[in-house]
Amino acid sequence: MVFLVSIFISFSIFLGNSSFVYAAAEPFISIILSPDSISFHADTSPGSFDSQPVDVTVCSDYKDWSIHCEVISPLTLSGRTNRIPLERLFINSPYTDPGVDKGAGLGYESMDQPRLVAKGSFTGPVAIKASSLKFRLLTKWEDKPGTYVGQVRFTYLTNP
Amino acid sequence: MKKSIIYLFLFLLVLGINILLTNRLACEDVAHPGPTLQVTAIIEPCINITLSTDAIVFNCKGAPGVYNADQPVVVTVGSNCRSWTVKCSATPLEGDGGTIPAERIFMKNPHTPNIDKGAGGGFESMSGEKVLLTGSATDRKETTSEFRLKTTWEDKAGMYSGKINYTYLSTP
Repeated sequence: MVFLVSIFISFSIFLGNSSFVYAAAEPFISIILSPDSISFHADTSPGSFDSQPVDVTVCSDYKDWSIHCEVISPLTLSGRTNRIPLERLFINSPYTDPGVDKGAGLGYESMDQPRLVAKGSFTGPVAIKASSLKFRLLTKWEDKPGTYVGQVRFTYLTNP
Repeated sequence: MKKSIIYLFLFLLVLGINILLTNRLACEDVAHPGPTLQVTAIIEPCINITLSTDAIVFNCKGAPGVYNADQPVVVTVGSNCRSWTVKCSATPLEGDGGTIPAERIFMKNPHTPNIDKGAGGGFESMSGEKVLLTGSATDRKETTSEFRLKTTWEDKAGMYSGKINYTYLSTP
């Protein structure tokens, strides 16, 4: 885009046109999570517990984009240092291997590393549902009762 | 001619700058921060008690005396609580011929003192609630209980049934 505008400007100068107009439109991407918070309620013996699913909606005029998510704050017991390790939080997305089972069921991969959750291309002005995510928590007897809080951050990579 | 050379130079200059600029943008591959998802996990206090069997039988086929249950009961406890106690108590055995009181049911655990209270060393009467096991957060702790029944001539022949109830106390 910038390249084409510049060629046009260059030719305008070359042909003797003295007006010089330069417009730079930054590419844009909007990512919406619905809901923007999830909770697990482990009210029975330790095992796997599901949260609400999360829809990822994207509006972008980038040519190509991809969205990853990663845990930036591990689940930590309020007011204490007790934590649930990252590898016991699992995610299922259209990009997780449906045949994998790391102890939380088929298609669930551990969030001990960033995971690809969506990718696509130019969407135009209308937002699209890019992905639907399911989260699962694996609890153990060693997890003390209480409320644990953490954060998962979504990041995007783009190609204008 | 001179003017054309200047314009050509300007054209090439702008072209070069834009090739560099476009190349930089095209190769941009940096992760940009997006939205954040808040995650909450609520873990409730939990204790899980399992028994190796859900029924024991005393086959009292001889003269009154002390009879062993047909099998011991293995009690397994898992808990995420800081501390917990499992207790058990027996109900009287009710039958067509009357009632056998709970104090004539006896239980022996590994921790009970080896004192004979009428049913053999280490067997305690289940006249009240008995502490079976205590512990802290654990995935598995178990104990084995043996049961005996003491019969008398007053116990009429027939079938009697009752319950041994397991209860727990815990501190999250």
